[in-house]
Amino acid sequence: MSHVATVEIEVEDIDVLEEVCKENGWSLNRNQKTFKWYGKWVNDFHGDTAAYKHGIDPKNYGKCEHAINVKKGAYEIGVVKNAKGKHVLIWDTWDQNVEKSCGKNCHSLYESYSMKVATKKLKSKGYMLQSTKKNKQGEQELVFAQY
Amino acid sequence: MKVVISGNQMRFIYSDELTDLMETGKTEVQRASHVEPITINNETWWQADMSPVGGPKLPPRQYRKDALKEEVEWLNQNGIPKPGDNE
Repeated sequence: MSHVATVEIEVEDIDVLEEVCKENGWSLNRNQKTFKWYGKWVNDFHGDTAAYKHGIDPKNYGKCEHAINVKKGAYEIGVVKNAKGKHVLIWDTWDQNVEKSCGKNCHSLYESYSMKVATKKLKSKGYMLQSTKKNKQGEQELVFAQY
Repeated sequence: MKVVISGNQMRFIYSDELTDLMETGKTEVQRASHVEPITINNETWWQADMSPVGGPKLPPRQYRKDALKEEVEWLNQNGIPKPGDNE
């Protein structure tokens, strides 16, 4: 009679995001209001990760609340508030340095953030992280024990 | 207690005490199994049916609590599959 909860984690804990950046040698620049990108929308990308599909008006491309720098001189990741007031990560794939560092679609950045947020939330409920391993599907399995 | 994470997707077996995890993003809760009574030699036994996550019917157990325990063990051993992903 079990039920499975599936959560699409949103990036709302900026302290955790900063920790993830530090651990990976990136820098989260708080209150940096623009992030480095091509500089002009040329309407040439319409994939699932296209910013306009996540509530960002193309006329606001390049504007952000905070910015993540993964490599000196490279394009950056913008931490942007969408129309619903939720933070989303936005980056320009033209310079490949972002996805070289953070994985395709920033998968590894999101994954590190999600693991830290889950661990932080569960710690406040009296659970301690016991082990982490990758399963056959390449997903992270985190085992927690109550203390 | 297990949590499975891939990118920004997280899955776990629902429990009232884990609702804090559900506040971290857009959440969906779906049935993962059925545990139903079946009759074997005029006795009531219990069987977990894992078909909502594309799994098998587990061996019948004499006690419901044992069927429930095995059902949770199966989910944990199989990466807590998302219901409906097998369709």
